Amino acid sequence: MALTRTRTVIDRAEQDRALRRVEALTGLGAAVSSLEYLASSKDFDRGELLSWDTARTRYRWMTGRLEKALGTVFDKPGVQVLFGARVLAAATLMNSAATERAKTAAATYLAGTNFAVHARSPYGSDGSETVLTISLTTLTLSKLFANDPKARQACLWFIAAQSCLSYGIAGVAKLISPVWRDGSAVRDIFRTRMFGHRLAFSALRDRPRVARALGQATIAGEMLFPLVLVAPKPVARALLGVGASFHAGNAVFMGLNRFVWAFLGTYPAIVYCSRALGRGSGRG
Amino acid sequence: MSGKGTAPGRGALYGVLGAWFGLTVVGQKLYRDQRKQTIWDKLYLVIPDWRFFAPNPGIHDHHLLMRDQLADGSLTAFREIGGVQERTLLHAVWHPHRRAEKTVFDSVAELLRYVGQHGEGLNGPDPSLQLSVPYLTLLSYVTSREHHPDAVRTQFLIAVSGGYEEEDEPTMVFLSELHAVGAAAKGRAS
Repeated sequence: MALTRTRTVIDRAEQDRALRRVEALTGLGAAVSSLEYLASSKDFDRGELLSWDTARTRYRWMTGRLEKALGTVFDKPGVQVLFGARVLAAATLMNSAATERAKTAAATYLAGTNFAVHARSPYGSDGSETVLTISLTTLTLSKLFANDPKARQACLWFIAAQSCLSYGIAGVAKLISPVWRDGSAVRDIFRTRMFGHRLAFSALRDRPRVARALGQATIAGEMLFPLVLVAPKPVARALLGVGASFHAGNAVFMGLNRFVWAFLGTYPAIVYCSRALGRGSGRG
Repeated sequence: MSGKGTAPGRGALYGVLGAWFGLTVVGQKLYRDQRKQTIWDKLYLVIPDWRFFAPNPGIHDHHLLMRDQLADGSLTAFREIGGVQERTLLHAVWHPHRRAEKTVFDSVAELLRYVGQHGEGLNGPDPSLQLSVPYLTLLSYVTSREHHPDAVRTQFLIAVSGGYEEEDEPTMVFLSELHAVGAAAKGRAS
């Protein structure tokens, strides 16, 4: 039997469009995160919760020979300059008129400083910034392979796969949890001031059926989300819509605003990799 | 790595992305004991924990309280510091205060995990506790707050509550040592 190889032709324009959309949304996420850091930069003062004086005690190497150099960047005012430059880099990434060289520098700086800021202190961070780290690092790698469509395709697949994995794992981790299956987790998260909401809690506290339905819908939605890569077009679109609404709801009721941009930033990569929505799916 | 001769570089890229994704899958320990720190927690910079609020979400608010000991040995009443803002619609787009709230939340969680792992012991807490990052973070924050004019030492308390479920009585979970403040601390340091 003759062996035939199918040569996949990569549509460069479609690939570039997907990467530009990832850049724009991820850049917006990085901008919001950095502006929030700047708005609360009092927290970096000596004796405050994110002061360099205590943060540097986490690792021995931070108080060794590098201490003075690190203090220039990680203590005030250096840390404010770092975040100010992040805002500019994020704006560059969002600017469709910016040159590729400028965007490469911006993505590299944002990815590098994302690692640096979280090495400085993991406190106050959350999963949205992990997503940003993944997207920004992968965008940087994609720019190093500007003339290699296969490499850039791998970058888009990596962002899409990590995003789908995150929904899938979150769903499975809830499925094995009795408190998620019976809905008490939903009610009890909403009772906290940290991640909850007064009105949502008052609506749920005496309605266990509603809480259970919400818990089970969350499990189902998160577990089904990875099917976006293989589902037919209407289902794939619905899954993306449900995902986006889920993050919008979490922003309103749980105060998780940064998750919206970080996760939506992965959606163009998911659309590109989806069998029904991307990679020339409309062409027959 | 860019340009026409990209195949070796591309192979390396596939290797890096494949290894990163593989480690992410392996690192998702669904039944990981949240009270213990593992190697995966130390790799937080590169290996994400995608379990988000599962399997057992936090269902309590953490409260940081402080009180002073005065020169005559008496103690002031506890007062809460660094509270959580009431949720508003603005938080859906702009939430800078969350950083400080989450820092208290994270440092309290890390402190309690430290106590859980190192134990309280027969002679009180493990002495290394007071040198741990979460303890130093909270102590530094507490000592920098405004104190009673006659305060010589200060102390912090961590309590948990049911948040909006006010019938759930707050419970004390950790009480720090008393630490010198103001002139007493300066005298000690000199």
